[in-house]
Amino acid sequence: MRGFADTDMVIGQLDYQLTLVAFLLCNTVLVGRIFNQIEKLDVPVLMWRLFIIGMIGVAIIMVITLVHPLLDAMALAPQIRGVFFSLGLYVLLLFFLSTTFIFRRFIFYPRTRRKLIAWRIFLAFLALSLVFQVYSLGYVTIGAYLPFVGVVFFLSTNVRWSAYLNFNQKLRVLGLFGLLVLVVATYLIAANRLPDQMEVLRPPGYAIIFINYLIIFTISYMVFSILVLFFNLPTTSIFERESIEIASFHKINQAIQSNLDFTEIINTLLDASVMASSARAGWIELLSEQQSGPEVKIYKRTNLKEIEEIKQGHPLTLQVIENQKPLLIRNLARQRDYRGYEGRYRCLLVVPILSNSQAYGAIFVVNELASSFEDVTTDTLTTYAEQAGMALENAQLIKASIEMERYQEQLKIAKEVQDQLLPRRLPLTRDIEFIAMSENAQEVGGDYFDVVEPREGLYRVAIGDVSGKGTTAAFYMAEIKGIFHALARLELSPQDFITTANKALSECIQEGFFITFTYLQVDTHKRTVEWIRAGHCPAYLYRAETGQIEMLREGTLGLGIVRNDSFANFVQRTERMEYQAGDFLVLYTDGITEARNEEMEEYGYDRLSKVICTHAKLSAAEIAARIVGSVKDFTHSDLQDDYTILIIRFK
Amino acid sequence: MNIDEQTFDSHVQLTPHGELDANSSIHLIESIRRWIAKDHVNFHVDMGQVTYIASAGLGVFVSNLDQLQKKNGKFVLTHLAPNVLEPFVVLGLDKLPNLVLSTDEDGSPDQYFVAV
Repeated sequence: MRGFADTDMVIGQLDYQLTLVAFLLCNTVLVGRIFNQIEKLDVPVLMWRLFIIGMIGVAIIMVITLVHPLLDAMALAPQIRGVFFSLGLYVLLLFFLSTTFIFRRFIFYPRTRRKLIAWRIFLAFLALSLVFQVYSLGYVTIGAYLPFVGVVFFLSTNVRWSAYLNFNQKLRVLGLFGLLVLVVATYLIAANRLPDQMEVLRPPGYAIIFINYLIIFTISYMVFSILVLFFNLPTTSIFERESIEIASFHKINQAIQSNLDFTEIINTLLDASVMASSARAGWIELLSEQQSGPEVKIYKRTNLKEIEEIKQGHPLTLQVIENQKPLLIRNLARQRDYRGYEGRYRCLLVVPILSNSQAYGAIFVVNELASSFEDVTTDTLTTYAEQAGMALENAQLIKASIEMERYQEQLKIAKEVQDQLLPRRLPLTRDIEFIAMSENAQEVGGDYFDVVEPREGLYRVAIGDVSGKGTTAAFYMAEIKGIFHALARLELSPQDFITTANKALSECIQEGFFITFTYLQVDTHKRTVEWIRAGHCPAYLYRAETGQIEMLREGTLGLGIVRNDSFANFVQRTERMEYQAGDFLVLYTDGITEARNEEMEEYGYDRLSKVICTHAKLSAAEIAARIVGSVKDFTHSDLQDDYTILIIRFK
Repeated sequence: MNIDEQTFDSHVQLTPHGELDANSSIHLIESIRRWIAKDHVNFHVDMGQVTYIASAGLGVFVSNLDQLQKKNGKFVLTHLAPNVLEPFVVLGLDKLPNLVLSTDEDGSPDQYFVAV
């Protein structure tokens, strides 16, 4: 090689070529290892790094070209020139090795077997160039470059990474490639002005083959990349839009599957719609639960005042829901119905949000440019709206299901509480026995029974039934318990008890509700029963001595029907009777007598009295069980209403 | 529930059909309240087509009795089947002056109302 006479002197006796090859090899391995560690392909960042390295390299080369006449003039020692030479060579090598290995990262996106083979051939050429260097084979003919150029050409066509860049990124990377071209061109120009002692750094004529190879590869890959990026730019926005549409669709699908609430779904829908349609602004109107018309639930880049100005009172949501298809107004200013509109928007697209079973509202998107929404935008937003409709329906079903579950849980608690309201044990003495059976048609009910013993041998007994069923009845049943327990401990006559209870209940129960009630006072010392029936089912008295059954029909109005002082006028005198051992009273609620079979026939009083008479010799508990069994046999099913049976057997 | 409605000089005649239970009684309540809102206070309810009445059905009449009494109005229920009459009697509603219960199929309800 020419021009190394001075350099040979610098390195003394060492084999110059071997040192050079070792230097090239070590740096190649080092740079290769550094750039192999890049895991994430961030093209703009990597390009920027290359540019920085290139700029530093060019700056050093330029400094060398500028200062070498000065060095010559100063007649500095060859060692100083050697330092400059080494520095120039190192920077040059570092730059082109960096481009080679960063471009390798680009080529292997994605990695394939063919690319790997081509890359290995490329490396083999580089290795071969080093062998040439060792044996000082001098300059190779242009023919020796042709196979290498073929491999480089194949590698340079692998620019698939460019497809994954968005428009802005492509523009940025294109600019960086442009800067890189400038760096390489500047280097090539500057290198030609290098002193003769450094002509080995002058590509392509005198440079080391190894470096020539790297330069060829760098320029080739840059040219291909620039061409591909440049010609892909116009179509990038379409791909980007498609990509956004797919991403938005995916987001809405996720919203369906992840059971989000209404707010989250419409947020996702509006974001996706505005983005996919490239709209300037948008909003979503939903039909209100109170059926008072659609309401703006969410808006983006606009406000309620502007929305009202755009709509000008037109019921667009209802219109698109009724027509079940989108409405596209290409130019609001030219629309007859919108002549008064002087706002900035021209193009309006309204898409209904529907599910299979329900209409939810509509998406609105607007743009300042007339006719800026195409049919494809309408189709995209319709698809989004359909998906969102499904998501809203799912959310609604899940909400209903959660509410139902919560309601069931609350009913369970209510049942437990109500069970506590009924007496767990009833008195059983040598004089008297109380037995009760009670069941609610639903979790909670309105039947009530209770016994208190204010003093020894005196029992005050209540049985009642709140009109209706379920939770309301259960609440009123709790009211009765409170009233009964408060009044039963006072020395009130049965008339006063009923009148006071009616007054108390009238103040706390809802209009239309009433309570049937029977109040008894049993004195086991006097062996008497006093009672008053306030609209409740008439009790049965069985006389053991005669085997006869008697219905105690006398009674007055149910509680809560007349809610003023005139109620007292309806309260009749207290009924009174004496009992004998073996006699018993059967009190019950209308769930027994009004139970109906498949033919809608009622169980009735006659069947009840017959069952009582038939089983009168059995224990009180057995009589109650036989009555319930008889009613169930009659209805062939479980009872549809709350029922209670309370039997008082006298001994 | 289907309810036939007819107005006369002295009263409004309502003829409910079917069963008066918790669900169907809502329709009868709404019908009565609509007429009360129009200042009608006398009602002839022909119960001939009612086959069953639950406590909620009784509540239809109970809930409006107080209001009608204040306006000197009344309910006259006619053609009550025995099984429909029975709950009224058990509850003591037969004792109320402004709720007339009749099983008479021939008697005219006009006798209970003063023409307006």
